[in-house]
Amino acid sequence: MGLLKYTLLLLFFIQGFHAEEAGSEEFQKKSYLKDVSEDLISPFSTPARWIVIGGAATTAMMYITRKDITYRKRESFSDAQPLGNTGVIGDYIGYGFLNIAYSSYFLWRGKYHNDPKALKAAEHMIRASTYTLALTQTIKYTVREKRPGYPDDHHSFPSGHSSASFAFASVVAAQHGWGWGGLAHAAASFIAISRYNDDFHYLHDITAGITIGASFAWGVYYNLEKGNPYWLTLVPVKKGAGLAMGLEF
Amino acid sequence: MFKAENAYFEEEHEYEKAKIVQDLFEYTHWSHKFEALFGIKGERQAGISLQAVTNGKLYKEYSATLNIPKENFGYHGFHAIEVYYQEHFKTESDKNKWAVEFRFKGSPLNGKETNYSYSGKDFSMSLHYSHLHQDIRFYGELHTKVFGREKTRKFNGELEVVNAYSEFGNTIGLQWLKGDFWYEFNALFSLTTDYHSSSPSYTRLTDKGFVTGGKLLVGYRMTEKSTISLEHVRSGANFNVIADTANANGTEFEIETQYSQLGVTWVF
Repeated sequence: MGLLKYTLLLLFFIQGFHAEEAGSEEFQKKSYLKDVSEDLISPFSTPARWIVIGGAATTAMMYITRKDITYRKRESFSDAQPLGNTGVIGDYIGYGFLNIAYSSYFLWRGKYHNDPKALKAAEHMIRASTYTLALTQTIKYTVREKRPGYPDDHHSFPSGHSSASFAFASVVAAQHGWGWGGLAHAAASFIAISRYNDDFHYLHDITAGITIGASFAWGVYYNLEKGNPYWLTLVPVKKGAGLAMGLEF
Repeated sequence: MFKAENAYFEEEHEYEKAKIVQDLFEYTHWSHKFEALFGIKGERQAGISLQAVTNGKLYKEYSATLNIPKENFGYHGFHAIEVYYQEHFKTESDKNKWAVEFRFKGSPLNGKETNYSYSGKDFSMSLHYSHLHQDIRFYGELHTKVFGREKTRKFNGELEVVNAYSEFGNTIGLQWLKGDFWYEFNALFSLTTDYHSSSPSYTRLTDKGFVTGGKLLVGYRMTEKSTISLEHVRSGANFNVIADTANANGTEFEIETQYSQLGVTWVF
């Protein structure tokens, strides 16, 4: 886990380095708030709304039929754990590792191989992942639902692993087609199932997370297709991290 | 389109404690299903199916400690009606297909073991997708389903209640088109919410579960407007039994289903 945290920090740093360079000159004159707000409402204002409608209906169905609130420190019986002890792999890689690795690679590739398509893919991932993370954390700290197997933790709804991994998978499908997208969705499904397997989430937490991640990824994709690309990414500052935006011309 | 399907069906409900079977219910019967599908307008279709069972046999076995003798019963009757609606989306290429489907299953009859009538009211929605590459079709279905509350009068007169629960999962499969034949297999994986069943004799509480399954099928186009298919379907559901202590006593609850089915379809 420690190694993973340092890797994530390093990748954040690499992204910040690129983002600062890309956006420093034209930062002042543009209406960034308008662009951000367009992205924030993109799950409703673009065809991604069908993901929101289907996902919200699914989440409601899962929530309404949940009879027992079994807050207790326990683990599922082995026969009820389809992934056995391998759920821990999903736990580790589901902390946004795939999103950051993808965007770092395509930023590097775009920058040093003069590949605009790669830059666009990186931008898509950064924007979709940032909004997904922001909304997921906001809901987690607002709803404060206890986890099924770990009642001391109040961040069950929605599943952050599911939202991040399905944002990743949807971006891959949008940018590289359904061949790679299928593999990415298989990885995202493994991560989401591992959270249910290991009693960190209820089923409605997972379907809500999938809905958030996929709807932002496709919503931002439709906005990107319209043009008006800009950067939004984390940058390291002295006592933590900052958020930087920039617009390309 | 009209479809007639006949299947030999087996279902097993098993509840184990300390690796000893507490009770085992085995249902076997012939299932007969008649289905009609109509085009409504443009890319929209609606269908209805009726299902009945004949020659049903129920075998019940209990743990020796419960001191209940083994039991055998026979059953037959009308099972359920299913209605569904499909909306097919327009795609840039004929090789890709997308559709959503809404499905409702229920029966006007009261649930009884004596005639295998279904008392639940189920609703499901699913997203179907497929891609054709030369003579191989990759297909899948993302589905979510609510199983309504089920009340079934047992052979001993007791009323068993299974509370409403939900399932969310995916099916993926491959179809190989070879002349007039096609061959197909798929795999299913779903997660479920809590499955609770209770009667005056017992209460079984679970807080989650998962379902795995698969299908093998071979089909043949007999004429321009008729096909015949033979398939074998298997699935198993495992539920996490709620217990106050760690599962040292090996409590398990499983439902296993399998059937072999012959179907004939006419397009008109």
